[in-house]
Amino acid sequence: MADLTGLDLAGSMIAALLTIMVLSYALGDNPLFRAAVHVFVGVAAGYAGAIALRTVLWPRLVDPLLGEGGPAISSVLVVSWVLVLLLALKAWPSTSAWGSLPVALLVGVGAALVVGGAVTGTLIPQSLAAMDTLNPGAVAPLTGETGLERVANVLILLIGTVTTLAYFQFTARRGPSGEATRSRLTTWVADVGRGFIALTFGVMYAGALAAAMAVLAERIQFLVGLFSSLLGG
Amino acid sequence: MPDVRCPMCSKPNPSDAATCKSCGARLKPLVPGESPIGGAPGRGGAFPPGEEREPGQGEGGADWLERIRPAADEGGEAEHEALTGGADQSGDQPDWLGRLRPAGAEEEEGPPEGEVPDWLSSGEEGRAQAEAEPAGEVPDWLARIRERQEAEARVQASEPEPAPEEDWLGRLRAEELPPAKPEQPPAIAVPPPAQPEPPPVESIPLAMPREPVSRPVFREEVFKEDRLFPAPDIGLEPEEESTESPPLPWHPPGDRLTPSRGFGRKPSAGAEMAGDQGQGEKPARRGGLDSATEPAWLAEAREQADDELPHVPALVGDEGSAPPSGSSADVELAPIDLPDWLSELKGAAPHARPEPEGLEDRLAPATLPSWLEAMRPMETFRPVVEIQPEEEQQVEAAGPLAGLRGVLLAEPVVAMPHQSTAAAARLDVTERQFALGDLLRRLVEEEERESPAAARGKRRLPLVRWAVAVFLILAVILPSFIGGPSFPVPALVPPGLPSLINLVNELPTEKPVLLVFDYEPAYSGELEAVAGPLLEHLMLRGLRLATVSTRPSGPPLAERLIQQIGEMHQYTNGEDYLHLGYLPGGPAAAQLFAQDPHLAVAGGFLLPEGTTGATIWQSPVVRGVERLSDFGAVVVIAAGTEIARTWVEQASPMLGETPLVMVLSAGVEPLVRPYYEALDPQVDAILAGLPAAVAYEQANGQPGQARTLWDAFGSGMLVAELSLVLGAIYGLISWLLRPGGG
Repeated sequence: MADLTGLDLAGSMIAALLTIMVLSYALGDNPLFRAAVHVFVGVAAGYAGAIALRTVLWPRLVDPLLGEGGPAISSVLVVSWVLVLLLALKAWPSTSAWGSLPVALLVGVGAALVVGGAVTGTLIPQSLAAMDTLNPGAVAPLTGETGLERVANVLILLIGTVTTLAYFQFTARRGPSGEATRSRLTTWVADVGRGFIALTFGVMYAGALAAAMAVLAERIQFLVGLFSSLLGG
Repeated sequence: MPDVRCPMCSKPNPSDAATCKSCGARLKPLVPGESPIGGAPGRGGAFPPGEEREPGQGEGGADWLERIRPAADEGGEAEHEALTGGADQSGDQPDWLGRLRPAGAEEEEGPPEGEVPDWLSSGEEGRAQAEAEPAGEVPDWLARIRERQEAEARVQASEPEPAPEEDWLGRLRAEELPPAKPEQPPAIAVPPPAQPEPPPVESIPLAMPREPVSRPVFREEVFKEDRLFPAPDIGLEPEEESTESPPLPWHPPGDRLTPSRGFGRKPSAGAEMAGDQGQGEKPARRGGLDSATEPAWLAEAREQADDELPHVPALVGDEGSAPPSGSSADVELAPIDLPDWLSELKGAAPHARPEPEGLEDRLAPATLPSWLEAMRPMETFRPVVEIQPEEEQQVEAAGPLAGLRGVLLAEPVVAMPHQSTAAAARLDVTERQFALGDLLRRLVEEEERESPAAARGKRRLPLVRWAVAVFLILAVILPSFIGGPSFPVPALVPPGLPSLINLVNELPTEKPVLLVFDYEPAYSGELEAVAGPLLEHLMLRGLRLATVSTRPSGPPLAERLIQQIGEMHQYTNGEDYLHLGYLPGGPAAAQLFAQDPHLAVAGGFLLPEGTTGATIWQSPVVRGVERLSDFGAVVVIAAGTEIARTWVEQASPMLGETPLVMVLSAGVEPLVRPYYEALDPQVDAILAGLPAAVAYEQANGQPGQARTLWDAFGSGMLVAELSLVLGAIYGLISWLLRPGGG
């Protein structure tokens, strides 16, 4: 670690202290951990507010009104101001109803974007990807797989997709006893799908564990380097 | 005279009519002590109409009186024995006599037992015999009586002879005397009560003679006729009553008439008339001495003999039936079992008490005896209707009782709330309804029940967690201190890494590369190590870099990473790289930036001198960029699946030929890889996890932060894997050893 002087040393010391406070959670929930969490949450919220005010609200709402050539009023600016003022009315219960308009606009636009993006960007492309050809002569564009290896991967992908979807099929016929049970084939397919789901979760857990281990290693090395610098090592 | 209006039907009738010609109601009130048809008045009560008392008939011609007369004679003898001492020994004396004896004993002692001479038992003959008896043989007690009577005789001689109309006073005084036989010496029968006692509750004040003349007396007379018992009609108009009572110089002020006698003496005028008429009949009835020659003590004794027994108040008298006289009724009721209230009334009768002045004009409250009170159906008639004072009673406005005051109203009784006598309708509840009701009740009770505080179990030390934490920390620290254990770099290059390296090598140098820093500071330790080799590769090629983020904390993280890596490559802000800043709006901001980067970027972050938000696109770093596809490549550094998918979904349609590279955390890669391995890949390259970063560094030929972390990461992962294996073995053994598990 480079030489630490002045503000860098203070910042490094605070970072080391907060790191130790967070790692104290290994001993159990304790005030040090909670204090560190509160500091992180508060700093993140304050910083986010400052960034939003400095880089969004001021440049887009105030700067056009304080321009050198006079206020540059546009329809976008007026609509933005109206929406902002209406949203500010949410702060008072008596006028909160007026704030529902910008909130509805935000929610509606956001939902439309997400749904539209999911359909065009995920559902259709992934469905097409699952309909890959079983021609052994085909070659994977990125990995270069071909032959039986590619066919095996395509079959695994197909089986995994079908069985996983079958696992989330909860409709069943009611038997003579009145109890709704799935057929034996559906049950078997669902069990295979559950296996694929478990395998996926296992991979995700391994990735999360690897990520956490990388973070832990980085933090430990930070502390070791800091103390080494302080001790002149 | 004007016509008399019937009190019942309000029809006019002649003034001399006794009954109403329309309804037959009596127009002239009955006055106690006078026969309704002008016959001789009876004492102590009225006689039935049409029955006149004859001299030889005794106390009257009533049958009931004739029936009880023998019993009265026997009772009189028994009481005489009781007064002379015989009853004290036997103990069978009545209650009223027991209460009277002390008062009489205080005034005068009777003759000793066995010393009563025979002459004293017979009226005038005994008196003459007594006068002829020598003085020396007279006993002491008799001498005292004679002295007192002589004193009274002198007083009477000095006073004027009482008028005939004042003889009723003598009867009044005689009524106050205790019962005694006529033959009894006056000294025994005359003693008045020593002290007046409080008036009994049942007593009815007889102050009506003092009421003003203007008062409509006929209402009270009607009340008496209807409610109590008919009084003899004396033929007097109520308006002609005298409001002044005759003077009573000798009578105690508070000694009023008792209820038992009150009804027969209520109106003073009536009583006076009764006294006048009765005085003319008494000598004939008695058949004794003339009133003029009769001494005073004998007259008193005779008067006392007439009232020797206390009167019993009549309960309810119906018109046409006369109440029994006081003496005969008392004697007749003695041997039978009388109710308590009647015994109390009989005992209290001789002790009349002065009435309060305020009660003189009021009627007695309606009371019921205890035995009758007990028979009342209290469940169906709980409210007690109290008779209000006459002044407060309402005047009937309609019907045959119009104009009358104090008429019993049916409405208060009917309209008063009371318990319904009708049986309530039963609610038929089926078993299902009962079960549902019980379920609802239990649910409500369950909601209202306070959940008991969870018992705090014995706190166990997290030894396993502590052990795992210690092993992990030691495994991560040891390589930094002792340099080992050392883990070799991955021999196998990740499948997508060569294509990524080739992609970066083929990026045009005239186009800037867009770096999207969409991760939180918590993931900076991993993602900086993973993105470091790629960023260094870009810098090695001298590509301009523009950063943007949909998170407020993104721009500082970008500055931090570029500062760390660009220091070696002498990258400067505003020339080699530029921070476009924060894009507010999440997915909307990503789509807006993909469609029109100039519109989405607001102000930038850490802009160099001379560059503002308005002129940020004039910076040499991003000069010529109008659309998203104008960037040489878009590199998304994300720690979450949602962020990566958002950029894939929103930006990929606008990218055109611009490659999209994903630098991901190790845990996100499995969910993003399908976009990479599709036939029409939406993601052109993926760099995820520390092993791929180390391999990238090896490919670059410059070990970086990823390699520094590699040994600590490797040892930590080893400990973690060992912990997982040990935990799995422990769980398997526990499952095998659990009963029924194997």
